[in-house]
Parts: sequence; C-alpha cells; structure tokens
Amino acid sequence: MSELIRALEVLEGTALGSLNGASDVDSLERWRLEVLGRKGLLAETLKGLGTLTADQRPQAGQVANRVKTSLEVTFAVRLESIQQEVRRHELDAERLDVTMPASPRPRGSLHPVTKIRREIEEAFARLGFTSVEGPEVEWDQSNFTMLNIPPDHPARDIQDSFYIEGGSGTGGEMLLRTQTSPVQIRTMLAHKPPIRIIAPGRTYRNEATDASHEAMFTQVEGLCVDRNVTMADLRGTLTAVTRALFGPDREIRFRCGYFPFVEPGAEVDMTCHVCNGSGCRVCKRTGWIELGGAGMVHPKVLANVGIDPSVYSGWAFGCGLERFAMLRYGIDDIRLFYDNDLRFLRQFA
Amino acid sequence: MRVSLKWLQDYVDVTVSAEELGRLLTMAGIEVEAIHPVGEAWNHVWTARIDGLSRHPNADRLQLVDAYYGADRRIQVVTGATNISVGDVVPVGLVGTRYRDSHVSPPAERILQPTVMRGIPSEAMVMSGFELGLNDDHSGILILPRETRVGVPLAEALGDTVIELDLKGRPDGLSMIGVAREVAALTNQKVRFPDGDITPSRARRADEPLGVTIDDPNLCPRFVSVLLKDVKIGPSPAWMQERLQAAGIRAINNVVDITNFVMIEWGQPLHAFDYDHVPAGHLVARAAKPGETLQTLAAEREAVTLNPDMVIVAGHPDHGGHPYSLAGIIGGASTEISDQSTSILLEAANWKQSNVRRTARALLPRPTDASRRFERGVPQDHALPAALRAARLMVDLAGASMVGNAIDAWPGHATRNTIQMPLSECTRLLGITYQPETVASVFTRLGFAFSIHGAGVDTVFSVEAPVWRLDIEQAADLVEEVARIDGYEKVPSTIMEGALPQLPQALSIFWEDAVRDILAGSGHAEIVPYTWTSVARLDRVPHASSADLAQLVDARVHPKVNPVRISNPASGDQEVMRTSSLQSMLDAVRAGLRHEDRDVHLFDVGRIFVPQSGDLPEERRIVTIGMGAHRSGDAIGERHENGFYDLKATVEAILARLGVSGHGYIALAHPAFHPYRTAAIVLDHRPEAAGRKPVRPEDVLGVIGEVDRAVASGNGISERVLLASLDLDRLIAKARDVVPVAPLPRFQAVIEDLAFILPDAIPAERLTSSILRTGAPLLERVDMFDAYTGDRVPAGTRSLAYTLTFRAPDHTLSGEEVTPLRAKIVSQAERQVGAKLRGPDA
Ligand SMILES: [Zn+2]
Repeated sequence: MSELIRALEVLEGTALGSLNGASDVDSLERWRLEVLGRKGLLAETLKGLGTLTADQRPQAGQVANRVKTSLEVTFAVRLESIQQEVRRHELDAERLDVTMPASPRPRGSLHPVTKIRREIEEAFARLGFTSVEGPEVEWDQSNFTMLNIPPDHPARDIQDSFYIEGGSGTGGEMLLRTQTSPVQIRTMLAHKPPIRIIAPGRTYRNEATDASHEAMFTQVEGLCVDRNVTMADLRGTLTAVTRALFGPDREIRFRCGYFPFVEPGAEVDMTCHVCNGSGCRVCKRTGWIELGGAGMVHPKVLANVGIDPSVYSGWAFGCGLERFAMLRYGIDDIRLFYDNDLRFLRQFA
Repeated sequence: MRVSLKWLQDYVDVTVSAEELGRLLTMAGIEVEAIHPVGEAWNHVWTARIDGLSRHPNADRLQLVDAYYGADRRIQVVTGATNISVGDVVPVGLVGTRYRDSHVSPPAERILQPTVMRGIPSEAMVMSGFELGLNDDHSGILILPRETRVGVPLAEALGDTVIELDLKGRPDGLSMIGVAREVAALTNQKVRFPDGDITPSRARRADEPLGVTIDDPNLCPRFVSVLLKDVKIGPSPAWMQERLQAAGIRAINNVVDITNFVMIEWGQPLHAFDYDHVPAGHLVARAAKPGETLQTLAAEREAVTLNPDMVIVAGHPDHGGHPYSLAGIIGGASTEISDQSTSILLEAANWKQSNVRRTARALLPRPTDASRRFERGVPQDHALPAALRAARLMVDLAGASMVGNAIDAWPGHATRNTIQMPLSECTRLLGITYQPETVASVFTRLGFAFSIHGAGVDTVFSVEAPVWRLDIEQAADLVEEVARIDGYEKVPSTIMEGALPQLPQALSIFWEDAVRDILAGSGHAEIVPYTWTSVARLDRVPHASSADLAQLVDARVHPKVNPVRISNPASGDQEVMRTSSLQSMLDAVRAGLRHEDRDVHLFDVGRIFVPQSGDLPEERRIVTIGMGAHRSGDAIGERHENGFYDLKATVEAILARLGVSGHGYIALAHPAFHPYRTAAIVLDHRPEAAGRKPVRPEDVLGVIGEVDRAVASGNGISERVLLASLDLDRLIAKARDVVPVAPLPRFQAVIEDLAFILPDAIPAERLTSSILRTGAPLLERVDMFDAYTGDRVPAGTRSLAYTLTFRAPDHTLSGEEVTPLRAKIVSQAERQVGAKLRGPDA
C-alpha cells in the first residue's frame, strides 16, 4: 500500500515539476492529457487502488484525492496565468497613443445667426409664438406707411432705405425692407386676433458699415395681439426669453422710447450678463445692455389693418439678431457675420 | 441738441446733478447721448488781459504777449496768433495745462511744458477754443468778453455742462423751453418763461408799410411779421455768444444771434429780412412757380431752381413778386441783413412739415437748423411769443425800436382737441392700475390742462392736448406720459392669459432648417452671402444658350433675367439683388481655399430674387452646396479627391430628409459646368422613358456637377470645384415630413448576386430599372455593390454587380419560384438595355 502512496507522491512531484516547465497553452494541454487524461499517469497509477484491501483503501483514497486536487488546482492556476499572459501580449500589441490626433472628419457648422435665431424661436415657441416670414423686397406701404410712418415723416431718416429701380406698384414704391415689421402688417391683415408671432428675417439699411453696423443685417420681430394684452405682458415675455438666452438672473428694464408704430414705446435693456449689472467693458460700465425697441402697437397701426384698437391691444418688439449673437458668443465685429471666413464659421460647429 | 445747463437754468431750477438729470431724461424717453463737462480740464487756465504786444526779435511770425492775470501776476507768452490786440481778455494756460494740439492729425492731447521759442523762453500759452476743447475753432485765440473778470480760473468764467440729447420722437425737445418743461415735470419744478413783454415805440407812419399775404393756409397756417427800425448791427453780448457757442452755433452779429437764440429758446425758427429791400414791406407766403430761381444763403450761395412743390416767401406781385427765401429753410441773398442794415422785418411763421422736408432734401446737402425743426413740427402757438421775444431782445441789445404792432396772420389756426383718457386705459395698455391722484399729479407736473370726471376706477380724464406737444393726439399718448413720468420701471412682469392662437408655423422655415441640419450634419459649413451683388459678378457664371434642358435648369436656379436693381446703391457691389447663388458660393469656396486645402464644404440656404412685372419680385429659396477638390481621408495627412458622387450623396441625403422620391439625374451640358460630370436633377423621373419624353419645366429641381475649369478660374479658383443648387421652394412643395412606416418583413428573403456587362453609352439607371420592373413584385430591392471598368471586360463596357432581394409578403420563397424570375430578369436586361450576364470566367 505504501508503494501506491509513494507512487502517487512521486507522480505529484514530477508532474508538478513538468507543469512548471509548460510555458504555453499547447504544452499545458499536452501535460493535462499526459497527467490528468483518462489514460494519463494519474489514472494509470490509481488502477493500483484495486489491488488494496478494504481497510487500506480509505487512506490511499485520501492521498489519491489530495494529489488529484493538487494537480488540478495547480493546473488551473497555471492555465489561467498563461492565458492572462497571452491576453496581455495581445493587448500590448494593440497599444495606442491616445494623444494622437483624432481621425480627421470635417465638422459642419450652422451660421451664428441661424443658431441664435433658433434659440430665440425656441424660447418664444414655449410661450405659444409661431415663426412667420415675409419678403425682403417690400412695398413702401407695408414697410412704412401702414406702420404709421407716412411719406415725408422724419422717422424715415433713421431708416435710410435702398429703393428699387422702376419699382412702383399697388403698394407704393418698392424697397429693401428696413425692418421686419412689415411682417406684422401682413400677419394682421391675414389673421384675426389672437396673434402671437415672431418674424425673423433679413433687413437692409443704407448706412455706413463699421464694427457695429452692417447695411445688411437680420432682425427678429415679435407681435402679440389679443384682448387685454398689456405692456406688463411684454415685459414678462421679454424677461422669459432673455433668461432663456442669457441666464436666469437677467432682469429687464424699460426706458421710454420713440418708435412711430408703438405707443407707449420703450427701449428695452437687460442687466449685463457679463458683470451682472455691476458695470464692465461689455455694458460700457452702465450695468445694462440695450436689446432693442418695443411697445404697445400704435392704435393707428391696428386701425390700418382693420383691428379695432378699442377692443384689442397688442405689443411688438424688434431687435437685431447679430447683436444678440454678438452678446451671446462674444463677437466684437458685426462684419464677421457676412465675411464667410471658414475660420470664423467653424467655431459654430 | 446740445443743452447748456447754465442756459437751461434761465428757465428752470436744475436741482439734481448733471448725471442724475441725464438718467432721468433717458428713462423718460429723451436719450442722453453724452454729457460734456466744459472746463473740467482747465486746472491751469486763467483769464488774462493783454497789456502789451510786441514782435518776436527773432521771428517775424511770432508775437510776444504781456499777459496780466490778476494779483500782480504777469507772464510773457510767445504766440503765432494774429487775432489779438492790447486790452483783449484771453485764456492763458500755464505749465501743466492739458490742451488739444490741432497741428497733428488726428488732434492729440498734450500737456504744456516750458519751452524756448526762437531764443525766448515761453512758460504759458494763449489758447484757442479748439485747444480748450470748447469748440472746433482753431483759427485764432478765444477772445473773451471785455467785462470778463481778469485773473480768475477760466472754469469759473466759462465753466458749464453741456448735455447732448437725442430727440428723435419729441419735436418740442428741440428747444430750451421744451427741455425745461420736461426737466420741470421730472424734478417737480416750475418753468420760468422768458421776457417777451414789449410795446411798440411808436405807430407806423404812412411811409412804413407792412403787409403779409398767405396764399394757402395749408402750406403756411400762420405768419407773424414785426418791423424793427434803428437797428445797430454789432456783436451780441457775451452771455448770448456764450450760450450760442454752448449750443454749437457760431456767433455772427446781434441780429442773427438773436434770431438763433430765440429759435433755440422757443424752438421757433425766425428769419430777418432787410426791410429796405422788401418793397412795401409786404411778404407773400406762396408755392413757387415752375422755373423760379433763388440765390440762397447756403454755404455755396448758388441759385437754385424752384418747383411748385416748394414753398417760398416772396415779394408782393405789384413789385415783381421775387422769391426772397425758402420758407422755413433758409434766407435769400437779395434781402440779406448786412452791416449797413438799419431796418429789419422779422418773420416768425409756421410751415407745412412735408414740404419743408422735401424741399430741404431736394435743394440742400443737409437740413438747416430751421428745416430740421419744421419737418418735425413746430407748434403754431409759438410764432407770436417768439417774435415778440426776439423784438424785445432787438430793442434791448441792438438799440432797435419796434414800429407798430406785429402783423399776425393766422388763417390756418389748428384747434387742439380734448382727449378723453379713462383711467382704465392705463390698466388696459400698461397692466398698471393707477390712483387717479397719481395721474392728476403727472398731468399737473407736465403743465397739461385737464378735468376729472367720475371717480375710482371709472375716473376719466379730459385733457386738453397741449399746444407745445404736437406728438400728443390720443389716449395712448397720454398713457405713455403717465407711465414715463411716474416711471416705466413700475410696469410689472406678467404673461398673457388668453387662449393660444392657432396660427400655423411657416413650413418654409421648418424645411429650411431641416435642410440646414442635414448639411451641417454632413460636414458642411453654413455661409450667408450678401443678397446683393453686381452684374459683373453675376456674369462670372455663364447661362445656357440653347433651348434645351440647360435652359430649364437656368430658369429654375440661375435665371437669365434683368436683376432687381437698387436705385441708390452704396457701392457697385450692391447694385442688384442676386438672381443666382452660384457666384456667391464660388466666392466663398475661393475664400475658404485660401486658408485650407481640404474640407472646404459649404452651403447656403438663401433667396434669389426673380423680377415679376408690376409686383414684388419672387423670392425663391435656393439651397446651394459648394465643395473644394479635396477632403480629409481617414488616416492622418491623408487627402481624398472629392467627386461628383460625394456631392450626389449629400443631395440624396437632402431629398431623403424631405421625403422626396421618384427623382432622377439627367446628364446635362451647361457652359458653367464640366460637359460630362454634370446633371440636371428632376422630379417624376422614369429612366425607361429618359431621352424620349421631354422634361417638364416644373419638374426641374436644379443642377449638380463639377464647375467648368475656365469658369472656376474666372472666379479665382484653380482646382476642381463641385456645385449643386436646388430650388427649395419646389422641393418644399413636394416634401413630406411623415412618411408612413413600412411593416417589417415576416418571411425570409432570397438573396441573389448578379453581374452584368453594360455598354458605357447606356446609363446604369436603365439597367437597374429594367431589373426592378422585370422582377416586380417579388423583387423587393436591387442594390448595386460593385462597378468595374478595365481589362477584364470588353472595351466600351463596364461590369455592374447587383444584390437582388426577393421576398413574398405571405410565404417563404422557394428556389423554384426565384429561378425562372432570375432568368427572366437576365433575358429582359439583354433585350431592353443590351446588358449581358457576366460569366464566372470574366
Ligand atoms: Zn457689464
């Protein structure tokens, strides 16, 4: 019996020794077949169990189990470590320098005026405003006269216009619209109150170009007409929109302002989004930033489009989209918008 | 308008600082553009008397000034100025004085240092108005009034604050009294009106006739005429000169200065005629006759030709009826006041706004101080008080006697109505419910006459429209007055309560943005070109010349029409509205290639302007895509060529987004494009009928292709450029946002690959179409997966390989069903388009 135990222990010693020598998965597998296989060394040795007497068996069985377990466990550990080694090699071969540049892929971009227009449209849409459009070449009638700016009105000076050669017809002379306000007129002529619209679009004024003036620019006009619409609603709406664009701390201020198509009229300022109102370079140390003009739709304008000003009231506002974009994105020269320099445009990817 | 606070204090007590006043005015709607403290920089400047003048021993052009500035202080100053004499009082700046140097351009700020001029030390300077920053006069030294105290800081003698106001909406703001009324209302003070008390020195004698005729009260509602004799022309007193200077008006002589002074004081322009040159002292206000001429007092003094839209003051018809002045704008040479004039005829009249405006614009390079006021509206009621105020000043300051009473012709008397403003109107428009007392207090402070009816929320104010506020016509105007005087900041913040309107969103905006997203998402940068351009630029992209498909394409996206022309362009590059977006895209591609040699992928979603007779132009929405010759490859530094099919993929992405199908591409010959790499994009396209059925104009969507080499280089581009341009309006008309979802197939498909040899002359779409039609309905789809041209196929042909997917909706297809269908597809392909099945050996 002790012979069998000795044989098992010898087997364990030699097998463990050769297991240590197996350095890859293949030689491990060969070792497994050779030692632990059905016809392997262990199985052969264990055949000797059958020659033992019943009282010898338990002890020999114990030893046999211990040796078997030892060989199997050592094998499994060894296999796992070799597999790990293999994986480590494979991964090592796939090592990347993560600081290398990304695969070049041209990124598209939306024009900053498109981006700011959408932000404004979204903010207004939440309050039930839809976006509408109108022509850029307009009748004098819609651009001026119906808006309470009759011919020879001095307010026409503020908005020097480009006129169209030979362009006169049912609506007076043709011109490049100086404001998006004619869309107000077109909308009120076509629809009965309640009305809530915004009208973004290209506008043109015959004035000298500099860092803050372009002869072609973009405006957005807002109009709300219903019973009992007040200037307080105007302030509430502009506050909501301004906060959506420039942050929840913004406050709106009205100053009295003159625009022929509103009465009462207001200039709209917001607290500076850079310094929060304490004064900085952006707000010229006033703490306030001018956003645009606004007011209650002039009773004459309502009457002009067949809406009874004693029943309905409305408010309107207008502002330059480039100006909003300049404030929002920190652009300091309006001429960049129409220069179409890719180095500028790509920053809006 | 420049408002001197020193002057303003003549009419109202200014009880707040200049800054606070500026803030109050700005909040109340009179925007303060600037506040100029006058004399802030005059720390080292004194008033001095010139006690002696002598020639500089070493320089003919220089003088030595012996200046006395009080308390036994004297200093010797070297100056080049020639307008000074002994006894003059002038400003003397000592070392350390800050001054503006006009000898350099642009003028620079400097600090006076001790110096030696041609051997004589100079430690001070006598100063011009320009150097002091007081005005723009650098022609000579500023001579102060003789009565100025000598030896005091100049700031004490001349210091002031000038507030510059923007008065676009407030005609009354163009006068000191108008501003004083506003300041009084805002600071709760009283207005002091200037002294206009005068009684004639004597009655008119028979040889002192005076008369006024108004032809048309609509053109001239009121005309006041005053005769003043014994006038002694001379300088006006220092206080008046100072005030005019602060207002930015040059002092000339007492008569002119008085008319300007009263104009600024009352806002009522005046004009002085030389009575001795007005026959019978009779002035006629009338429209000009065609061809009449007048030599005006404008800087150029040229004779202008008048027309009947222009209103003039003329002589009596019995005396020739010659034009004397452009009414409300500027005087004429024949009745001009000269140094010898002793009798003057003073006009204070009221003129129709629109005529003054049109005439001034037609005849003068810029408006005059008078015309600027009349075109904004001058209250009729101011004519008489202003005339009498001026007469009084003439008597006091020019030794004049007023002869006889003023003539006051007022046939066009406009009555100002009474406005009813219910208190509830404030609530309705502002969202503020005022106490009636608040509103009453505002009207009182503004000086409006009113009465109150009813009580509480039912209070109604009857307000007499104030004669000096022509801008107040209706209740809404009064609501604004209440709001701005009580404070705009009191308007609360609320949101509309009414039902949401059912206005449809403009689909065009939705689709434009959808296309923008597709293009930006596929790596294109959005550009926004100017919509105006020049004809020369437009011509850089030629039009089709023959009447074929190319012309239909042009008509759609590149119409050959006379563009909408701007009659007053600011430059040649803005002379017309663009009729095509192709040229502006080429410009942008060229600009992009200056900075980058790849990935210049641009798009423009904008409008072109197509003239329509008698109506506004059609503003057609166009989407334009431009690509340079190269794009980045996947590997670093790798660069691929951009080709027709890259651009076609982008166009397909747009059409897919718009839900457009059934479109196709037809090879196109167009002079702006490569003859064999260009296509028209058309709707309702049937490949089997291509070439036989003419394309309908309305089915043409646009063009895609490689730009002709010569056209590219004509636009400054030396590499291949790809352009596509589509009529977005046409596309939008066909667009579908919601395409019903097809159910997922329930049965297995049979997939077959087939390769054909097709002659080069046959468009691939015809083979595809033949396969599809033959295989229908079991052939679900056909996808080309390989295209080969080369040695392994006969010359003049290419191999096209397709994956065919067969599927039945109700059972799994068997081989027996597909095999005959496959054979039929092969035979039909050969019969219909001459395609041969490619054997395994080929
Ligand atoms: Zn700030």
